[in-house]
Amino acid sequence: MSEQKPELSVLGGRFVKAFHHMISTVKIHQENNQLIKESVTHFAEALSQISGGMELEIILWRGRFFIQGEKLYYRKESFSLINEMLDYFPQRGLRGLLFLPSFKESSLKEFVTFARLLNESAGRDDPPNWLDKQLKASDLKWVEILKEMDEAPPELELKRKEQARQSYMHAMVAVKEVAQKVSQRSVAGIRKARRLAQTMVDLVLDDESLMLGLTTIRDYDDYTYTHSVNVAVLAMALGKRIGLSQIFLEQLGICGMFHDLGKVEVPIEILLKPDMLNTGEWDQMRKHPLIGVHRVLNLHASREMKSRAALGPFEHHLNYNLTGYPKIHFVSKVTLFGKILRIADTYDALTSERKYRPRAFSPDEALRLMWSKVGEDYDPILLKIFVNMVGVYPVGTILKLDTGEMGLVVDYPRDDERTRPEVLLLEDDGQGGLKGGKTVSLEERDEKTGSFLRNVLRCHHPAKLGIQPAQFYLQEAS
Amino acid sequence: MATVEERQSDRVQAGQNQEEWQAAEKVLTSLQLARKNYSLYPENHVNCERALEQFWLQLDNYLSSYGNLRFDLAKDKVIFQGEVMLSEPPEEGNLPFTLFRDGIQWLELQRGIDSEEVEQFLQLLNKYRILSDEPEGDLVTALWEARFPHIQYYVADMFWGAEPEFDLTPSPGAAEEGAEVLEEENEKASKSECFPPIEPAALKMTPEEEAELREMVRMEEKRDPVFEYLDILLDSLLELREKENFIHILESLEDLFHDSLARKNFEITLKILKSLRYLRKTFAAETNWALPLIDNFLLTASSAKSLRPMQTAWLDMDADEIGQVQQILVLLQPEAIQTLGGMLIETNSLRLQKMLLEVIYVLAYRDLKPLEAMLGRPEEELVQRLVYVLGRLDGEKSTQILTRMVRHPSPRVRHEALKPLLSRGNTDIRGLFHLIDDENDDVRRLILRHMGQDRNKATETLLLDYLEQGKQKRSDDEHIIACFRTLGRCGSQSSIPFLRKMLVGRGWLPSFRKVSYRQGAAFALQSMGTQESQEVLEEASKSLFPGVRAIAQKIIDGQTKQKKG
Repeated sequence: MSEQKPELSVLGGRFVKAFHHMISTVKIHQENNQLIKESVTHFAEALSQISGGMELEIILWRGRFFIQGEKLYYRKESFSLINEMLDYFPQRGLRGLLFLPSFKESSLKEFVTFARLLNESAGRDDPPNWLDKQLKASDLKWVEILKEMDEAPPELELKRKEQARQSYMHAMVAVKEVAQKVSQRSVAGIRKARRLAQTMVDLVLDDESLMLGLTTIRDYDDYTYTHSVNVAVLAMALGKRIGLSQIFLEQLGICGMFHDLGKVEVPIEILLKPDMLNTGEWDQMRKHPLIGVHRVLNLHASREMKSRAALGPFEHHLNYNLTGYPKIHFVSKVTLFGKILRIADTYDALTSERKYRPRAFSPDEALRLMWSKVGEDYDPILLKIFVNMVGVYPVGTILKLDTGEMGLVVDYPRDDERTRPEVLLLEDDGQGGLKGGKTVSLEERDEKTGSFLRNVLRCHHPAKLGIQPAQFYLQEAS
Repeated sequence: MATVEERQSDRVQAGQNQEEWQAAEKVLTSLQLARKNYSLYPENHVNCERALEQFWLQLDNYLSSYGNLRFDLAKDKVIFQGEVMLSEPPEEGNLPFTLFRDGIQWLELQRGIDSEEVEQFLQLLNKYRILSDEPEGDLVTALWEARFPHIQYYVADMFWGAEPEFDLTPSPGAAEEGAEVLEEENEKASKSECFPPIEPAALKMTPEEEAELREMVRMEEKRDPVFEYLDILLDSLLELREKENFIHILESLEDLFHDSLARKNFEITLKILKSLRYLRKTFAAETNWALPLIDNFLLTASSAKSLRPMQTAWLDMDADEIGQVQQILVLLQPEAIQTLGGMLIETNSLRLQKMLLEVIYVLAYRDLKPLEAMLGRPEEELVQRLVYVLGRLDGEKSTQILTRMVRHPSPRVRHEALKPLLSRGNTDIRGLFHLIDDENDDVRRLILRHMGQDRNKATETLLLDYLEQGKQKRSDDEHIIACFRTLGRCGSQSSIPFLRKMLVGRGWLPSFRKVSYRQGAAFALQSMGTQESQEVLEEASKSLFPGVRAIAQKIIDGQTKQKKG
């Protein structure tokens, strides 16, 4: 679906900045000060631009601003400003604000009053209700406050989750279809795969944490296909982080989806063998990148697409220092796509239960293992960004907290804070299993002492508790 | 009941709706016309340009008056404001079907759209008018890539039918016994190999790393992926030693080869050929079945089908590119001569001709047969040039062929073949002597000059016989004299009796030969420069016959002048 509003991030950023400037200026200066006039005028202009004459809704949800239902993306240099605003709203018990079109007829004085009331409301008992009353008393009919709520998330979140779930599922099917066709030596079109890759790019750009949450999906019977989709999503997310354009993200997604195409020809007994492989079996296994390349040639795609798609199968077992496999003679370096896929593939594989390994690594263990080989197996810059992206405790990690609670990492609301995630507390469901409780942030502090309310004692792999983390991320969508 | 004002207002409203409808219909009609023209003509055809302009005008008119224009779609209809505006059978090529086929439910053209965006949109509509089986993409993937800022659309999922729901419940085998097991595992983990925590400081990006990353991304988005693709295909050939896969990859390389030639991406072409030659050497010892496959590739690469398309490309090649092409061509099989020879005479560029000749030489050096086969071609200029190349090739085989070519119907070819033959030290003059009677002046001059280069018994014998027996096929004085002069240069004392006879003898000679023979003999004696020859000249200068005296005296006078000078 195309819902393109290319100006949103620019206009939205300007609007939030102008809003912040206005409330800060009103806090410091007297009402008749020229600076206040300027800041209020600027805010009114920004509001007018972004609303386009319609009503404008700005909502804070799970640590992000949404404007007219669209997540607001902001640049790194805006972090501190945005963070201040992210604190400003909850301090006043606000979920959001709704500006009605009649704001155009309001005076600068009314804007100043509005800003002043907002600032003052923080010190009140029951700030949102106080603010509501004050706005009505001041006859400021062009703005309504949206109070915080604990109930079900807004529709947009549900819609997004459903779309993500479907895209993931369909991507698996698409990969399977193509794999089956190429294994029969038929030509396979990649129209479906491309459509899905494009959808996933949009989803990754829109809600990276949700998509990263989906990469915790494990299908123990059909590992290869979930693994392929997971690698695609992880790769696209990393690609987005380093600033690749959308077209390249799509290609990266295609590479990820088809990186293990060669495995269709590795005998299943070898793939699922619980013990160490013997020499002959290992030789067969090491051929799968080359077979994958060969299978890519069977895709009905342009040369440019095949050129890129071939990188996935060929390079995903090549290390940064060119060790690994397959043996190379003509290839003299690993491409950027190859380096990204190496990281994504390893991370997903390490965090999956495999018969030949005594246990799966928990996500944080996997990161530490990979980090120990930085510069050898993995590109140092890319691995750094990847670790920053998934967080020290990646989405899907089970945390044992010092409160005795167990939590499932679900999100990192702030881009500049990757050590204290939001966790979904897990509770006994009374039937021997676990259910999701409330979501808490590990950043929450005791008001009196200032210390963190919850700290991490240790981490676990979700499989040990019989958990599919994605079940919890998507349960509100199904 | 509606008031008069309300009814009037309704009528005005209806009138405005009618106008809007008509304006939208004009847009749709002009869009249909534009699509039709784009499907019939090349994009830069005047009909396409006109149709595009008309569509743009209608669209701009609507957008200025009424704002964004949205059409809803069904498989056989285009709907505007709830009413069917266009109805067509749900078939490939029809507008509603094309859009609906790929899942587009509505399409909106927005204010701010410019003609460039419109043109690109039309190009995409045309490109995806009909989808092949197993397509790479469709209109929606193309629209997504294009990211038109003023074209919005909504796509419904239409690929997915009743696929089973994905089961997110964990596998029964995955769950362990619970907390006790977790604790046990943790103890084991803490005792076993422990991966140290990642220091937060280590995760901070330095400015140098940021710069390196930006450069990495910039290079990635800029580079042509074909280079890495080629390396991957070559490594796959090297490592994947299975015949079926090998053939398949070679086919891909063949496509790449042709494409790179057509696009003048000569670096790729060169790499393919060099690498295949390397692979051939590598496989020679181990994999017998691979050699004929590689040879076949090289043969195909050397064929007219591969090389002819290059002719268009090299019309505007600069010197560097010509150099690159030369490097490519010399890596081909000698069979390429068959095509290159033809291209040689079809080009007017001296630079290209020179390059092609050089290439043909290198290829023929490896195997003469293809060049030899070309020598039977009717194009005289081609054969002459090929003989020129042949002349540069040493060896018995080339000598044999050249010897054959001196009997070619074309004098230019004979001349071209003779030159190198005569320069070879071991050429038997007897096989070439017949050329003394060649119809072509240049050929005769060449052979005579060669024969007169030094004293040679064989040549002398041939000439003596030729002149004594009157075997000349040519009767012109100039030729006779030239032959005598040559005899003088190559001859010895053995020729003096004959020359004396010709100069001073009284034997019967046909009158038409008398003078030229006497003159020729005199010149020959002069050229000999021996005492005996001089004595004959002295004798002739005292002859009773004025004609003889005059001839000899002239020679002697000339000699005297030369001595004084």
